[in-house]
Amino acid sequence: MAEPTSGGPALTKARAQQRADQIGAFASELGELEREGALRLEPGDRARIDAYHARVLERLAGIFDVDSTERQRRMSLGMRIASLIGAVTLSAAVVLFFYRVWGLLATTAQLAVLTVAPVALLGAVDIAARREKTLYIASILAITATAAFILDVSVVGVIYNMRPSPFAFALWGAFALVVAYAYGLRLLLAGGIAMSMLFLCMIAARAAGVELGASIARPEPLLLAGALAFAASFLSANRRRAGFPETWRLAGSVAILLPLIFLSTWSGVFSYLPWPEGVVGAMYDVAGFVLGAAGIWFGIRAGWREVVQAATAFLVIFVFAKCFDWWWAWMPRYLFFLLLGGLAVAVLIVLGRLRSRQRRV
Amino acid sequence: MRRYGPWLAAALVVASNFAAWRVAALNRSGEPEAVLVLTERELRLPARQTENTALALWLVFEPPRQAGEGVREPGWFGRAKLESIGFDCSRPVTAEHAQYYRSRPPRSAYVALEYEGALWLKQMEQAPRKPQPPSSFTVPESAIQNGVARVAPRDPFLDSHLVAIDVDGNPAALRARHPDRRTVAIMEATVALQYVSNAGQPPFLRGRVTSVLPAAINVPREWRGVLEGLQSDVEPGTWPPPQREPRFRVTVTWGKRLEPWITNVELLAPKPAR
Repeated sequence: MAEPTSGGPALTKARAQQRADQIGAFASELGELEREGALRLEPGDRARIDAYHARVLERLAGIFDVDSTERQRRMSLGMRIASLIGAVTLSAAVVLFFYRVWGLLATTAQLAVLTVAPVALLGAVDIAARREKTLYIASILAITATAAFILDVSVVGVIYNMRPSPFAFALWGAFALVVAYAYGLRLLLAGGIAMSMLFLCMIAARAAGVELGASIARPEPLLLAGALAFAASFLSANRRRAGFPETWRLAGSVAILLPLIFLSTWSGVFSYLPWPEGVVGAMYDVAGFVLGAAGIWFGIRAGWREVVQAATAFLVIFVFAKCFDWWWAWMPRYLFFLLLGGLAVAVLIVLGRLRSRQRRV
Repeated sequence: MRRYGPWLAAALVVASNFAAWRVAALNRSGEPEAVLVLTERELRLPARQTENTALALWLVFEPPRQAGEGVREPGWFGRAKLESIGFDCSRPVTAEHAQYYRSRPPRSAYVALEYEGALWLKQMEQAPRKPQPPSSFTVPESAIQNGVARVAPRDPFLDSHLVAIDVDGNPAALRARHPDRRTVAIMEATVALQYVSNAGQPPFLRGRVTSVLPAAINVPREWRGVLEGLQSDVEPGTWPPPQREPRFRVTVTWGKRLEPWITNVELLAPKPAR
């Protein structure tokens, strides 16, 4: 029998896990077929298949540390949650420790510690990434390194009594993105995208003379940032990395859709546009329905599950928000809730149809 | 990317620290933009914190006070000034447009803060002879009712002598109007628009400087020892905090980028109660 090979397109962790899942499903179904008498392999054939699959799984586990049983999968989920908690708590520990001791240090020593901490943590990320295929520890250290860099830029600003600058967010976003791309870390990628988007909001706020703290309350720049994030998912640098296109698409979808809820409902409060509130609100009403529906439609066609889920969640919230906006003030309460109930049933029917269509796709 | 990514990230850390140091050096180079000698009234000393060993003094400034009791008018920071810093005040100032004005986001501008200047003197002359409780015009009524704002007599002389006297979108224009660098500091500020419904009288628009940037000035280690002995162990639970005679004097210098730093700290001899 031939030696197991990855075969087909370049093997990524996602594809390796998919293959491991296929093998598990195949073995399970083969057992059922044999039990029900629908198929009976020669004992030698069955043994050869089992041995071949065992070698494939061993190889995939050796390269990618894939989960080959349900128990392993549950443990992996637990490890992911633990690594997230670890990253948050370790970051808090680094920040709080610095605040506890920085008053005891001279300014030069403060600056040296602030500069060395993220660089040293980057070294630790590299060592962890070389030793561990799953990158759980590397991920914790990478998030802690990013927290140390955020602390660095913030505290240097405090030491020199600097005015807040949107460029801090650009630096933090760039750092998170560089580390995410270096080690293929999706959580850090999402953080880097979020900080870059906030930077765009702040730049727009500064250009408009609006205070930086109020920039997120003017979310129109996120529409552009979301479109850019969506376009970035098609870059070859992202397609080569497992989960990166999905993360960019999800970030792009959320950045485009979420602001529409606020812009359409309270356009006078949240929009930069100088036109009458009614016009701006109506424009974003149309955009909300069109983009929500388009997200679901394109997502199903292209097989982008994350886009379909984000667009569906958005459309449900958007429809209910608009109902409240249009009818709450003048409609009798019983009729309003009756209408919402009917709408919920309609949404269920539409989603059920979409689900069966998705299943066919 | 795996090979050069960590180096790129490390270079970003070093470069951003170097850039911050250069910007700070540029701010502090050449002739200072302003040098003011302030006291504890203008630089609030926070309570000691166990989780933070650093020390920063909070800059306290006064909004322009009203000329007399019951006078409700915008003062120098009215509609024209608001428009000059970019607020759109083109709609009529009526109850119908109150929501529009209330939803305007705060804007960035520059404020001139004058220490013991003409406006402060005028306010002192017009101040009531007896110390007054905080007015619901300057402190929200709900804060007084909830006990957050202290309804205790206050001596205006013990409040900050630093008064916001002007705002502009351009710091150079502001400096040209207020050239005394020993009494007037120019700082970046957050400015909010207030719609004052003004019961029984026509409503009006008023600007309010809500904060200056930076809001606190870091105390370098060499001066910290002087101030640490004066810190209390608990923050006052009310606003405004209790008044007291100033116990220290601080020389604050503002640089080219309008960013301040402390150049001297002196303890003041205790004064007998006024």
